[in-house]
Amino acid sequence: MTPAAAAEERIRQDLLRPLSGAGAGYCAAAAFCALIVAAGAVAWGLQIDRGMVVTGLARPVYWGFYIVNFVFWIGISHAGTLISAILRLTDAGWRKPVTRAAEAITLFALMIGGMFPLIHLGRVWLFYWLLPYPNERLLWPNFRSPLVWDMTAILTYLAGSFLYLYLPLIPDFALLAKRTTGLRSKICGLLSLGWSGADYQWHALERANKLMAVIILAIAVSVHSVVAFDFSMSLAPMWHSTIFAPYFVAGAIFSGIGALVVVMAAIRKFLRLENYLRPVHFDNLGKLLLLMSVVWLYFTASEHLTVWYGNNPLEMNVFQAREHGGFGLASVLMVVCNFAIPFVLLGIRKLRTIPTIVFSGFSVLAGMWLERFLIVLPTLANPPLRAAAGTYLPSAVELVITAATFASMALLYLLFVKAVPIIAVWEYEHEADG
Amino acid sequence: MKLTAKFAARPALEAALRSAGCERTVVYSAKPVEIASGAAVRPGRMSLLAVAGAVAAGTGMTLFMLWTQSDYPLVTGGMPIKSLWPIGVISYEAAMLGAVFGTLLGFLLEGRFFRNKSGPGEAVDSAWLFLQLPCPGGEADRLIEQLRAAGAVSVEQEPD
Amino acid sequence: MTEKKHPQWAMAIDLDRCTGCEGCVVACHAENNVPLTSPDEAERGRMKHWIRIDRYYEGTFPDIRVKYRPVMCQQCDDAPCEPVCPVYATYQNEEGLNVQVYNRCVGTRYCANNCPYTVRYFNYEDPFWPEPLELQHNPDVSIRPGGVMEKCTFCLQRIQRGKLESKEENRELADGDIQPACVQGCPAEAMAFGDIADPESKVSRWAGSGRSTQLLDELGTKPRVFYLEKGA
Repeated sequence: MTPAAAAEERIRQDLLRPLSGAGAGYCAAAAFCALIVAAGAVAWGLQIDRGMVVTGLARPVYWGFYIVNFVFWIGISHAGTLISAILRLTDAGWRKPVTRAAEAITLFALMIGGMFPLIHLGRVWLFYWLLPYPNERLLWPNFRSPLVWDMTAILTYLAGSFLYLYLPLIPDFALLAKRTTGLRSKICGLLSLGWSGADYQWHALERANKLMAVIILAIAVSVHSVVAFDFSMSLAPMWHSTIFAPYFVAGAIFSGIGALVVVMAAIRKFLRLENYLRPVHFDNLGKLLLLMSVVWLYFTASEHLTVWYGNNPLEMNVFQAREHGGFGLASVLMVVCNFAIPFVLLGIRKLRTIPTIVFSGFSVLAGMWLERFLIVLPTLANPPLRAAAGTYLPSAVELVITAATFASMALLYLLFVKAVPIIAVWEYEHEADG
Repeated sequence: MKLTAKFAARPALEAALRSAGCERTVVYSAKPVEIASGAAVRPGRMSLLAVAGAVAAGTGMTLFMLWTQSDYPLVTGGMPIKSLWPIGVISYEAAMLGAVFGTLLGFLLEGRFFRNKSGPGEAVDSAWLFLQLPCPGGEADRLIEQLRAAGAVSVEQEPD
Repeated sequence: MTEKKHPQWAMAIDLDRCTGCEGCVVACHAENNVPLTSPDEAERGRMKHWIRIDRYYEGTFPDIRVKYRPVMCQQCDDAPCEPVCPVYATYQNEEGLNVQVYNRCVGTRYCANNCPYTVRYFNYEDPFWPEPLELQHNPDVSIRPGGVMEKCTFCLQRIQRGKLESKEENRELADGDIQPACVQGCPAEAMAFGDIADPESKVSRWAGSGRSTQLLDELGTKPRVFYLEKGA
């Protein structure tokens, strides 16, 4: 065996090692996550049985934690698209060990986020009425409704990001089919669609990947714009704003990168892939996070300055609510988490190390969750007629379901890293080669 | 008859391709190989399929939405019964979904998937590069000689 | 837009006559089977009143003046609640009413968020009435299950009955034949209901008075409820 071939073999073994066996720590983590997910399922069951009365929703706040979580998770799903599609299109070589981890976040975050429009429905068992299926009354869904736009956009994104994750997995499935035995080998063989490594297949894969990168980028931008349209198409003060679509897209990418560095650090540590996810990857992502932090501040400042200067009484109502009381505290925290912390930690080169980058990632996740909270709640709590103003406190059911979403993300990821190599073997080898 | 030659590195493979000619040859490898002289530059229609899928799905969905609106005309919010602005988003998403499926179709066709029934071959997990080329009955010995001269580690002969 | 045809329903409320007695609220609850709310739930803001009295206070204590404004669904011509519903559970009918189809509602609550008047109410759970109130249900009005939105209909069932009665008696529908429960129950006679497309009707005359205003009409929703107040 030549030295090059030996090196390749070592890479393969390194990247495939996490797939076999499961330690006690892994099992405990998976069981813990599964327990929380089960609690969330029970909470949802209770809500379906008893009605929305178990939530903290009350007039005029008809949307609460569920919609905040919805926007948050759809935002997280933009991690994969940005890293993978933009970097793939610009041929940035350093992306290769990062892509699959990011694309998996996209798919899982979408699955979780996509649940919330269902969870928040008053009569979830009738959700299929939103689909255009032929029925005896010839009733169709209202395609003018942003909620139907939402559904279309999310389903499209789900299909697109699934394919985008799956295509580069095909050669790895073939490899796994070769290297494993029994049922697992059979399943991987089926999933590899008869991959033989022929040059025409590599050509097709490359073309499809490039094409999908373009398409998924177009979809990703539209998806979060559509999520923003849910708010900006309404007449409600501080929702009805033209800045919302780009603001949401920027925020989504921002929180997506935050999620990505956190997940990557976990993979690096627990799967012992230190040689593959190197400091340079974190450093590059840290710079991206810094850039998005500044972009985020720019959008936030534009939004608030416009409202404040316009001094429209209905909008100022909401604006004041965001500045004072509990919402005011959340606003300060949001700016600290989204700007102050990442700007200092990532802006000063000496401070930009893996631990601070990961800390900034956590901080951005918290900050962006707060941002969505501050977009949804103050507007609803302060409707145009002041006599109708109200408040909102989430109930235990909403909190449990929220916790369950984070647990589902962890659980899905835990299962994923056991199912397939989290770093694309062929892409990494190709890179090491070139 | 088919010949399958095994190579250790790209330069030898390229030399073999030059001497044997590039027609109807297939290179098998565990990772993409970029071959300078072009083992097979295969013209692709994948982007065409993606665009066709986008146009078909986008137009189809738009017409469907307009039909449902006139089939069951309900006034909402003072909007016209057939209003293009609010359905534009869905037309766009449908077009994108069409593009995704077009790409998938193109990928499956160009990669000639689902034909390899015997499971992944040796090439998918190997540092070797494999060159497969058709071999007319009487020329086997000459071709094998050529491939070995170019640097093939081994050459195997198999029936079609 | 729908073809405008007679009658086009509208309401006018004279705020200078309104005493804030909430008689309209009670009448509405009885007529429309509006569910009651337990004190706990009410405290959280979950009470359902298809018509409610908003109180605004002017001046500082003790020199204070209370202004009452009964607010119900404004039956907007360009209603913001309608286009956002994904399943057409709410739309504009030919008589200018913003109708709510309870059976079709899946409970996204988007309509309520998009209503500037906050007059849409959500059934957080299946409705209940303490004994013996369940015996006084109006048979003409359906009971709304949990999970759906509901709101003022301008007493659609009374409109329907009025039309049928006039047809039976072979006569044109006259102004004042149809009165929603709130209008009928108002002891101060501060409310008028009728066909706004008929210039002679009481509601047209009230709406045409110099004191007439519309709630948040700057939003462009074209509400069908006119409020009469001094100094407008």
